[in-house]
Amino acid sequence: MQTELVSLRPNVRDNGIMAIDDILCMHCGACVGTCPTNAIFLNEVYLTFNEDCTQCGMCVKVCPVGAIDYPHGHRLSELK
Amino acid sequence: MNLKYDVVVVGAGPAGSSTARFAAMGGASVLMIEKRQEIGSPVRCGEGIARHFLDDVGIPFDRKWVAQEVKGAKIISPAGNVLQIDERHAGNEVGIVLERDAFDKALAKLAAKAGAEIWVKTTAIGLLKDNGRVTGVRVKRLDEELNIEAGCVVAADGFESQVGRWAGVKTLMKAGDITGTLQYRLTNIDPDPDFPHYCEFFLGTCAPAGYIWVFPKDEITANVGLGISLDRLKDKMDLKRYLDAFVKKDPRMKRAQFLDMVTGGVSTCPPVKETVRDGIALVGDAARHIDPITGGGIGNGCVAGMILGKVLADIKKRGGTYSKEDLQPYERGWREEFEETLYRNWMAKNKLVSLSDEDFDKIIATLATAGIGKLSVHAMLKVIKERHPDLVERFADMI
Repeated sequence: MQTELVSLRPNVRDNGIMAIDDILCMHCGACVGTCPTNAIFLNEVYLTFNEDCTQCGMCVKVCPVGAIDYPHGHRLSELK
Repeated sequence: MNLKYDVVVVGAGPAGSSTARFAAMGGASVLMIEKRQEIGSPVRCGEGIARHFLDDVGIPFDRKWVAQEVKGAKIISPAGNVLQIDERHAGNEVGIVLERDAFDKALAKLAAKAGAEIWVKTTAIGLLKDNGRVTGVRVKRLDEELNIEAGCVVAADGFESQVGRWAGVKTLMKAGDITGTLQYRLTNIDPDPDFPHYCEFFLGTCAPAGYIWVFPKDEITANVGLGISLDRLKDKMDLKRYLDAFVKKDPRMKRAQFLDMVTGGVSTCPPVKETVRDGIALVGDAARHIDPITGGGIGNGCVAGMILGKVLADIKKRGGTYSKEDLQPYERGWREEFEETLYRNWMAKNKLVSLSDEDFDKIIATLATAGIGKLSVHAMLKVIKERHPDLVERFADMI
């Protein structure tokens, strides 16, 4: 008998600008205050990026839990 | 519903509540809004504060928000040299370890008692402007979107402040002036003769261009956290790797377990150029009122909030318009109170980040034997200058 994973909770939201792992995110706002172009919005517990983002990566590094990644296909993306 | 107030405070942290309290006390009509459903939660703080701030801003002492009272601070160098400092002289973050959620609620209660109206689960989603002047704020309160007119909007919305940016105030920081922080609240910490009586600060490469803190919460529990400058963070999750390495090495924390995890960003920048404009004022973390060396901001936020609240009440009394000129006494007030310290500490921080582990060992050993009585950048530099002129060359312009 082989163990099978039967359900999968979706956790990464990738809008093509940046990707956020919603399970990891602590909604602390470290990225929001760091963002030089004010492209990150935190609506209580929902983080989102808009087109002002320059993919500079400051938020990726400042995020204390590593919840932010470059979008799928970006050369620095670690998304599988 | 009356949707016109003299003052609308965005953010119900210590700075916002202090502003609301003193403005309302002086007769202004005040509304304070908080985006979260609960004031004070989630906690995003190391929770240390010096006792004197409570007297400075008139907060009646209450056991409810005190986790632990400490005797002082211990500053520990990479090799384990210890500098022990009495609580009264140990700076702005040592004395009381708070229960921040209860503390923030206590401050909000003081604001409410003074007459301020408070709404939670209410987010500021935009500013109302007329001819460049801020005239109010657009909020979402549960399912309603409302325009609220205000004589003055107070941006007390913390590190991630949007309101200040919307008003055009430059609060942008360089990577070297931003600190990423991660904190574990650990319990089941093993006994140690000095635990839980001291707030501990660990310097050196355990937290590059930052430090690790251990603030005791009770006999077996402590906030163990670290801050590292953004320009020293290379990879995702670097903060966690550094903190895990520290916890693993500390013999007291072998069997420690998690109660809580806290993350956040802290500004360690020089004071901002302008904190008031027509119809708007910035206060607390939003105004970068944080000490660039310690990253502490509760005390400064409360003091600045008190100054701003009094100024707002005064403008109300004399029928002012909350213009930039009207708000100047606040700008001058907080700068007189602590601008020089912030600037000096920012300069010192920029030099401290260049020190090696060996430098820290030497400095801490020197200060410990010299018996330094007061933890101030100036006092420390003087002692180091006498014993290690070589080390202090880099700081020469500051002494």
